[in-house]
Amino acid sequence: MAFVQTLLLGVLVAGVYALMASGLTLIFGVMNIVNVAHGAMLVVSAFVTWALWRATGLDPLLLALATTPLMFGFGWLVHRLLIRRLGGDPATMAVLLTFALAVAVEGLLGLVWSGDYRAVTPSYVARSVRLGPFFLPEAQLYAGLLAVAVLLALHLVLARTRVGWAIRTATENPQLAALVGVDPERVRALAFAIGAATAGAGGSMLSVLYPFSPASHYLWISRLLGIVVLGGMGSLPGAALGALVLGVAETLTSTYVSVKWATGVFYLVIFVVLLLRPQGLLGLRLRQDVPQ
Amino acid sequence: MTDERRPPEAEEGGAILEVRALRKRFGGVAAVDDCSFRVPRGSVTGLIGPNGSGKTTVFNLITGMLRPDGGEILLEGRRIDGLPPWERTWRGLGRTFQIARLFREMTVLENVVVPLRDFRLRRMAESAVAGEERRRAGELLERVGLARFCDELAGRLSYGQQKLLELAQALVLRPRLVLLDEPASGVNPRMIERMAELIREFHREGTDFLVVEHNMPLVMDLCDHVLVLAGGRVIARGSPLAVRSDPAVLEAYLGG
Amino acid sequence: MGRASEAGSRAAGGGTGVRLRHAVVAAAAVLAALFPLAVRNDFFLNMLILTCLLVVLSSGWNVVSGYAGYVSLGHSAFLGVGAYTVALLALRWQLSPFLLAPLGALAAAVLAAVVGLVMMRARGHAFVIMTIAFLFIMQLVTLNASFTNGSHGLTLPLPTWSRQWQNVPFYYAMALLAALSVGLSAWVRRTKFGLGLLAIREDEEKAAAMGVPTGIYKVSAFAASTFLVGAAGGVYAYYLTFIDPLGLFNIIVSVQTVLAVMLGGRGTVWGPVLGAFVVEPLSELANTYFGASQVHLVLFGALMMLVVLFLPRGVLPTLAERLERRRRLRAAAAEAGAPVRLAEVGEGGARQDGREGAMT
Repeated sequence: MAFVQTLLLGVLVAGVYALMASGLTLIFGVMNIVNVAHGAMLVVSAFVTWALWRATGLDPLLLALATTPLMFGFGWLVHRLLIRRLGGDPATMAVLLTFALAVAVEGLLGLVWSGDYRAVTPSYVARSVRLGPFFLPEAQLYAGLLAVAVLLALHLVLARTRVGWAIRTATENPQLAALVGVDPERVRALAFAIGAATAGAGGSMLSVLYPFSPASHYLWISRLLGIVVLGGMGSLPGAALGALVLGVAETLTSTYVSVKWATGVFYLVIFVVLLLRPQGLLGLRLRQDVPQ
Repeated sequence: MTDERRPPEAEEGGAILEVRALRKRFGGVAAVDDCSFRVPRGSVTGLIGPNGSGKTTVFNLITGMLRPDGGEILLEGRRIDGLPPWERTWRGLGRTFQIARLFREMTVLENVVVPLRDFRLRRMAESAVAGEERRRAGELLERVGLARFCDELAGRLSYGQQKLLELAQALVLRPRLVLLDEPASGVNPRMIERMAELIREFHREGTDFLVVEHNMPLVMDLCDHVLVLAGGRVIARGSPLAVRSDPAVLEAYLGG
Repeated sequence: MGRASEAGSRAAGGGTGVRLRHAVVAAAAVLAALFPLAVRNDFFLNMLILTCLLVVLSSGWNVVSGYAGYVSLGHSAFLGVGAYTVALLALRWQLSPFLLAPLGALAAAVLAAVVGLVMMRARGHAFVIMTIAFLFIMQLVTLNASFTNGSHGLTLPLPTWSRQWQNVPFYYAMALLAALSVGLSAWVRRTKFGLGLLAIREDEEKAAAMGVPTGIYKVSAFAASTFLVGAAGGVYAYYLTFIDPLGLFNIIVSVQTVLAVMLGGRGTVWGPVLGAFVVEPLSELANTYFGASQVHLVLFGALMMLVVLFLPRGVLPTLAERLERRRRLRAAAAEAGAPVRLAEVGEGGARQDGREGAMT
């Protein structure tokens, strides 16, 4: 019984993880860039949600409607001002650049809102829904459902719109994309902005589910990298699958081993997967191999 | 290990390199398919074939940049498949690339003195540009006509010069066999002549060559033995003249 | 210094250039040795100790990331490994951490060799990500393991020397390690080993094809780049007297290291030193004037972004290139009327365009 309960909680959290990871994997797929600042973007959105919630009292999950376009704009700016200017060995330099961005953002958040932990606590945060012998915390339930809805919307954008078609073509067949006149620069800017926008929605959910501080982005980027590396860089279904596996694994670890070691699962997965199966479960190859 | 096993052909002074039933697939495509051939000792052998026939893949398998799915590779009668690339080089193999690959941010001289002849910890600590190797490198650069650029960054050389530098790199350890991947591609006619001259010169001094090349007059001129690759296997072999009139070869080029 | 500048100094009458450089280094060494005796100022001494620590870190990082091109963001983990090794042994054996520092070095290098063997099969961003994961794994382990005393940290024995010496012995120890680090880095650069590392950075496949045993080289580079960092960790722990996982396995220390090298010049001997002497005092100034560690983060993050975008090769190589170009122009002008372009000679008369990647 307790095991199934743990499993259920794991699945709920997996939905949110999947949404958070979708942006990271999308950006990698289109640009071959690991956006290490993705965790920082989540935390920015969480802080914005917290500030708006305090100011207006609006529901934090509803505030995703504000943070999503806000982070879209932020992502577009970051691409325009930083990413686009990268030269040299872009893959490695992009990691350094986005890492530096994450550190700067962490500092800025700390200057504005101090380095303390915050949490958004709407009325339902302590309530839960009973489902037979199990209980589902309401915040987790709503966030999970919302995450799945946003993911579906993202899927529709990618599958049904011209923008989505351009992004998919640029990911799957860059040469064809160039041939049919898809402007690669625009596609990259859009992909980066959409990736950041998912972090916007994800950050609003984060603010309800977990306490957060400016330094939380390290934890979050580790989680997301674990998920995306396991699922396979660049693959959206892979991100969902990775989120499911790791969401459940993390919940099980904290229940049956120790909360202290729960994040270790992600680090370990990053390590082991990159070594044994660099393409993850469903994705592109992140690891450039060297002759042995 | 079957390292010491010497096939009868080699004992007759036959093959410097022998490839047996080599196979390599990429996804579902067999790039090299049951490929067998011998490079006679003391020869300049041409490896020709239409685009996509697997020539560069064969090179990559021989030098260890790719792992074969099956088959054997023997250098002077000893198995080298399974060895890492550097050990194959220590056993007497050298190669150049289709598009010259250099260490662009290092000087021309440094580009040539990079390799070790074998591995001992002590040698790692030796001064980089000194001693016998420095002399050998200087001599090679002199012969390919790059001596005066010793201290220039390799990335500053013209493309033709880069190809010459790569030849010097391949020869620095005095290899028994050098694989040349399109030595004449992308360079002007005078440069091609110079390259052919150098190859002949080094060949006279005891280095054998296996040459992938699309420039047929050059192949006919340079090689005394030609292998024709199509669909990942050798479909014809023999003297340049004999191969040129082989109907199977014509069909591979026209039909493929 | 950068390749171009070395070529330049050779052309401009090598001997004097080398002698001049030796003289400058010797003068700096004498100055460094006399400094604490002449100036009794705790603020400056502390700043110098930390600068020397950063020199050790950045010179070490430069060996694996600057020479061999394997960019690590987890290098501060080895500072932590050295610190914890030395602290634990000092507490157990009741010995001076100074004496135990070599064991800290050994622990760091052995661990680096082991993880290097595993991680360095991947390059590019996969490697960077693994180094980040490695740092956090080490942090997590130290936080949660019982023998490290977890988040409570460890308190080392207090220095036994007379109070009037204050931090001077720490300064000498750290300055010695800094000098050794620069020496190691310069020595590696001059050897076959160092040349092989540069070749690996430029084109690893080609290096392997030419006979460079890349595996052994990379692992050796990783171990060499962490050896003195481990020793510095021991001295640093003694200096702090109290260490905890979050302070020692701190990714910001990695960021400072990377920033120092990128700023000074990746792959040069003196770039990391220059970078350390800019970054660490800057950090102290920020501390003094703004206090909040948040300003630190903004400062380092912003600086790193600027360097990555606008000065990716670093100060020294960029300067060297400028000088080299000027020298070339002057040489060309001197050969009156016959401007020689490198690409035009040695081609048997026919011209070839020498532009980068003309054929690629």
